[in-house]
Amino acid sequence: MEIPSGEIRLAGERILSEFPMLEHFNRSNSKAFENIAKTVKACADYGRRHILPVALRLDEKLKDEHDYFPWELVRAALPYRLLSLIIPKIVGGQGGLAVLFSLAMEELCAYCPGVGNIIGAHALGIAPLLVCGSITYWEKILREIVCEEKKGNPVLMAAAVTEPSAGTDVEEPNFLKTARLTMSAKKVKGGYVLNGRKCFISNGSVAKYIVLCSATDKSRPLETWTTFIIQKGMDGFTVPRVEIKMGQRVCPAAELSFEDCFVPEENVLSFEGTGMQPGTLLLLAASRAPVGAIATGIARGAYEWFLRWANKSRNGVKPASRQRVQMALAEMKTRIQVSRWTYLNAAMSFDSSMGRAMSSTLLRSLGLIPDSIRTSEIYLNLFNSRLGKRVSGSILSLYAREDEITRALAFASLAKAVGGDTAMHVTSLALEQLGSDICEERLWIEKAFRDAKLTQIYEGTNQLNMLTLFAAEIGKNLRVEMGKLKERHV
Amino acid sequence: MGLGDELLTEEERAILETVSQFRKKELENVALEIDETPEPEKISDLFKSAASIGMCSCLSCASGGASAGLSELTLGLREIAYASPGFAVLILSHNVALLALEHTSKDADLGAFGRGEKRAAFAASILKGEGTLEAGIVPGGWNADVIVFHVFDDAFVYPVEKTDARLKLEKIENPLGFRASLPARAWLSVAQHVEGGTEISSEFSETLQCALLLGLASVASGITRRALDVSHSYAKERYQGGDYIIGHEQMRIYLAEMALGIQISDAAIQHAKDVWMKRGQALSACKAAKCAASRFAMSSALNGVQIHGGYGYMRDYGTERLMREAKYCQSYPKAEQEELLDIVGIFPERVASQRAAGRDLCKGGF
Repeated sequence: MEIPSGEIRLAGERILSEFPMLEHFNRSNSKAFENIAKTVKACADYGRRHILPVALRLDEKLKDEHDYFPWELVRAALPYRLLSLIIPKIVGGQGGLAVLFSLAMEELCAYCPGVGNIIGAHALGIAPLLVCGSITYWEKILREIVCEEKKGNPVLMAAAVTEPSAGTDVEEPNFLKTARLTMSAKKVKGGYVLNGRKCFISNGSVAKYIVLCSATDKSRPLETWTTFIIQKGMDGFTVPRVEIKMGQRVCPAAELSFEDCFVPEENVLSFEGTGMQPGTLLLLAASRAPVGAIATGIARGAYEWFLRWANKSRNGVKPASRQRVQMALAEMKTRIQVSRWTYLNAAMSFDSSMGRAMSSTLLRSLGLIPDSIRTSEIYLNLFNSRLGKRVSGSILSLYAREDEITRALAFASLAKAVGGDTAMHVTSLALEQLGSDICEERLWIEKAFRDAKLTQIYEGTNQLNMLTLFAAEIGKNLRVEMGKLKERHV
Repeated sequence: MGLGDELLTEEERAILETVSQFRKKELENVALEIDETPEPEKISDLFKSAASIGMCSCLSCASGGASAGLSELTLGLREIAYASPGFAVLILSHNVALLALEHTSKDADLGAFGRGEKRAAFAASILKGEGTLEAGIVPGGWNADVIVFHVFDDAFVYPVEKTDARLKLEKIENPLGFRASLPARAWLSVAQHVEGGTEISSEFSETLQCALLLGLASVASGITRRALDVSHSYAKERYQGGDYIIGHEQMRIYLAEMALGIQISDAAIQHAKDVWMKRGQALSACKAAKCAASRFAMSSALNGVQIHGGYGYMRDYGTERLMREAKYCQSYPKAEQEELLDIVGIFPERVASQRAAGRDLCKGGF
């Protein structure tokens, strides 16, 4: 959908007024900034035209029909190209990274976090293909998503990590060592046989492709944690259950069941045993800032509805004329702004390392190769061979150094925790102020309150994120930090 | 017997045991259902069962005096709220309304209300302009036979039959909390402010408010207890991060904070009850108890969901319900900040009156 340049410029000005940190983007890479402005504008248009009129009704409908999925709403997102936001340009996507995607998430989630989470979970499924540098699957899957998006057919993705008895454990290397896993992948001739269950998988019941992590040896989960690509309809793969959630209901959380499900060797992303390091850690470094943005969007949405309430006269008095309401509004605004800074800081940190890899000359030069060659079997097999995987992995590690990723993960974990707490605090505060007033604004704020709690839980509970931050930023450098303190105190 | 119940009297223990039996036998197995799809018939049956153990006439003159009534109200509601805070609030609303009905229509036979054959609901209202009383949330309002409107600090109560043409009711569809109370939004048109109203003293207005607030504090205490028990059980079973959850220090701190919340809530409720019994006026103490207990209920429910992780967010596990109910405890009947301002507003008057009476402020307490 073409957005007039004047509207993009206005959107850009609005972003800069709210995110002064992005000024350098505008100066150093005005084209990238224009892309961000265009995306935010597209999300705002989609939100206003398509989400706003149906969000409350859908939430209500899904309370009773929890396995309903609003395909019509997803189809309406296709002209805005929201399914290809982070897909590399060389396969026809928007080429966005964490900054662009985070801002898009905030905008969408201010309207409805459930809808935002459909796009977010889809991107979470795409991200492993990017961070593992799986060129073959860029051509096979990401190109399909882009082509179908242009034709008006949504192809969704999902990522399946959580297991019924291991949630937090599968998102942290040290915890994974002792995790009680139920899912297993047994090596057989030509591939692997999967058995077990995954749970709470966002988009799990509607995705065509699912990126799934499992140990190939449950006695050594960390060393054998492996990432597979699962396709809907594979023998032995079923979706027995869609959960009934308190909030974010539009995005289904499904249980996935595997009974002797054969997955061919070529469906292994990167190599066996690389699922956690670098796989999941890179993925979390990429995804936690956008989750912080989702939470910030929820807080912003609640703030905007609350502001509307505060400016409506009741018995001749506007609540906004009361000091307690003014203080509440100011506190909400403060928290939202702090939350924005933290997620943007994390997203910029990630983009500065992975961004270099994604825009490297070598990767860009692949785009010069004609499509007919890039989609040929020889080309795809070359990049999916051991040599091909090693080469693309080396390119990534050249640009995205381990220490940079660790730092990006620490910032991302901080952003996620701050965002989740902000969303809960702001929605909670707004409801407290409303008292017993039953009004339209209340319906939105109550929904935001229910939606917000999930942001403290998914993508690793906030407590895990805090421990990750400690390990990456404080614990690792404890001796150095203590040494510095000693110098200062003496 | 639970945490903080060591000092209960024999009479109070008996009350708790009776209501506990009702909770376990009749309420626990339907608590999720009446929160999700509150069928009026189901609620009516439960209401009659609650009436059979005296829970629908706690504050009635016939129930054995105010002391027993208060204990019934607070301990009973706490125990019912442990299973269903929404249903507990329905019982509370009925009891406060019945108290007003007894006070204002002394000759009428109100036995049917005590037996659970009829239901009353209390509408904490605001005066909208000169001609309408409006109540945003009336727990039990949708299916009540009589609704009692009252603007706190006003000199009138307005009991109205459900069929009264001046009454307008609107069912609140899928509220965040109090679903099992079948809440409604209600308006009563009174051409003139006093039309159809019965005059009451300011002391009785305060009594109604105290009963409502003390009841809400008890409901909140029930939520905190539930949050602690289910979280504690889960933390002992769930293995995470190389240990059972309860083995992690931070998780134990969350549980300890819940236990602290129970102790402080109960102490605040007991203090308010004591002040009420001794002085007859306890509005600031009741407001303080309600604010404290509902805050702890909120934080305990939030931490309870957090301890349960993804399972806490899913309906079938019942923990998310506590969080929704706690939020309504916090913001009903009016914004928590307004309650706090009221406490501060009352305090200077008390200081002034105590000074005038020559009392030692330091000994008087709050």
